Amino acid sequence: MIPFLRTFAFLCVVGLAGVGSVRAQDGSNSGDTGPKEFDIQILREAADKTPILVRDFTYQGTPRKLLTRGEAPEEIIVQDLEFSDFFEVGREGYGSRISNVDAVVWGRVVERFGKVVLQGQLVDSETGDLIYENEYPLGDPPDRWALHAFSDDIVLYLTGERGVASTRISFVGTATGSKEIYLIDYDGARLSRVTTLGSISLSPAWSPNGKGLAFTTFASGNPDLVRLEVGTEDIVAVSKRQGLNSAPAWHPDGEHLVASLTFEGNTELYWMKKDGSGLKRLTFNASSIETSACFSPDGNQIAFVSDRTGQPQVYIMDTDGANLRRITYLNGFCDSPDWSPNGERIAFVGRIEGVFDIFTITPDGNTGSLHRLTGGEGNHENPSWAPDSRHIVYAKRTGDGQRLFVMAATGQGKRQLTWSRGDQYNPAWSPPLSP
Amino acid sequence: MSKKFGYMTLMVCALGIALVTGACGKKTVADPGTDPVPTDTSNNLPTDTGDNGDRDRQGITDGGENPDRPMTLSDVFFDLDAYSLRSDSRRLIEANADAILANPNWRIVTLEGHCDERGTVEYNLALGQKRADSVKGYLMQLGVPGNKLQTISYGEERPFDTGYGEAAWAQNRRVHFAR
Repeated sequence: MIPFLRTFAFLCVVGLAGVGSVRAQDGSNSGDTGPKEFDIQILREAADKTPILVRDFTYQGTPRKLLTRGEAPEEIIVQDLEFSDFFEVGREGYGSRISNVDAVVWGRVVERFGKVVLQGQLVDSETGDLIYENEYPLGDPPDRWALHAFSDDIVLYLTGERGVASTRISFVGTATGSKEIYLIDYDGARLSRVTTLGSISLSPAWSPNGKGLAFTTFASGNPDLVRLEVGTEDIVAVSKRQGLNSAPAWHPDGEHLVASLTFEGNTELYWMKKDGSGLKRLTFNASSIETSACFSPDGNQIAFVSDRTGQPQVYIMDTDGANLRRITYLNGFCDSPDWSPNGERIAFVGRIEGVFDIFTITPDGNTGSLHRLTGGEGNHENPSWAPDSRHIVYAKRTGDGQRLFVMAATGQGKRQLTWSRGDQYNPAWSPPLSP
Repeated sequence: MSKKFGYMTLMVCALGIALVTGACGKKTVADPGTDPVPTDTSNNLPTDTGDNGDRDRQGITDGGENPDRPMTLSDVFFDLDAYSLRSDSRRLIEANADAILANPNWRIVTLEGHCDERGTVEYNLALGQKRADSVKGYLMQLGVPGNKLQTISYGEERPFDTGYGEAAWAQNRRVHFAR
């Protein structure tokens, strides 16, 4: 039978040197070689990946077709499964060196009532048992979103955890000369622009059901907090108070937000309903900045940034403002927290010797848990977790401008996600999306 | 980068105008195409062009004012991560306060807080606001009525210099006076 991978330890800490004393980065480093040159922690994947084979689909009464971007449908499945990090994936007929595969992915494409349907199957290769079977509206030409749905189901049935193939990333792009909100699929496909405001729009935040985005826009002159339903351009005001209405974060209930407002004179965190009413101030530190809030997945706590000690650092408090505690102590600058969806880690940006890198730490702030995920040249900013808590998207300046990159939560497998004109930054990874 | 080139052009134009007006000593002709006097200052929110809209970092040089009084409002610069006022910044703000007080027909002066690109979008928005508030606070100490001043933060979103490196960043950590 297939081993149920959920119980695997994904990471094994094999080195724990220099805890609490981060060594300065060597300025001569070149390239983005990951964390291996740093002595905070060395990570490696402990669990062997499950070998899995993707067989060619068969076609009955409908011709084989490629996707609009030229990929074969099976290729999408292979890419999705590889990205999940759980599998060693072979593809039938492509010189797979995998022996003794544990599971086989297969599909039959049929036409039914004028619609092209994929009958996807997952088979235990040892016993021949059918593990999972479902139908997906493949369409003509084949729709990558239907294939992503099949991929995520495969991951779910083999590991107990849902894949992230059916997710998108929202970000700020400057290709038009304005700063607009954009979307791109997790794999870099289907780039689309959400706003046409001709202004500065920032800090997109996904509503928990993946249907809405809150963001800050200067479209009316003042930095206002607004939201919209994805797929529409109907912008609804959340908070248009004088001054900043910035850094929105949705509570998991989908009905409330926390944002940073300045209408009372200082940048403080406020709790509000999604229509901006029911305002409740959460921080009371008149001399310092409080911003960049994010919720713990259970909604009971908020991680945020405060510079009350003179430099920005990450703090946690209960959602009612009680039980404040500081969790980062990197000398310099810690900012941009994002709580992993499984609750286990908080990603943030730390600046050491003038360079910004991405770190994660456990919510208890234990310095022994600190992982540094980026290094080498350039600034790495604004981490955002994928819903699987195993991947992170971030922005990095390249020679051509700021670009989005995706990596595993170990810091491995960094790859560039966006290649558009202008800058792409301020990313936010969506929750699982329905087709 | 075409954006940067466009910016350089703007900068050269702005410097050119500053030089011309400076060389004339007294400004006799206002070029209406360069920096039009706003006809309605009651709603003097900065209009957002989606571009780096700072027209003239050296300040406002439009005519139609008392030519014996200072016309320009200098930008004020800040240290990294800081919103406290440096001594050179205080002197510039004092000169700006003199100019504002000497021109009572000016209505609203908008203090735009800006940051360099390092640090995150959200923190820099707050930092830019702090910088604008710092300048506003000092102007008010110097006797400028608060109702003549409004603040807005653009964070790191509208850099004066889109280049990479400390020379550019130092230019971007500023409060710009816009009328």
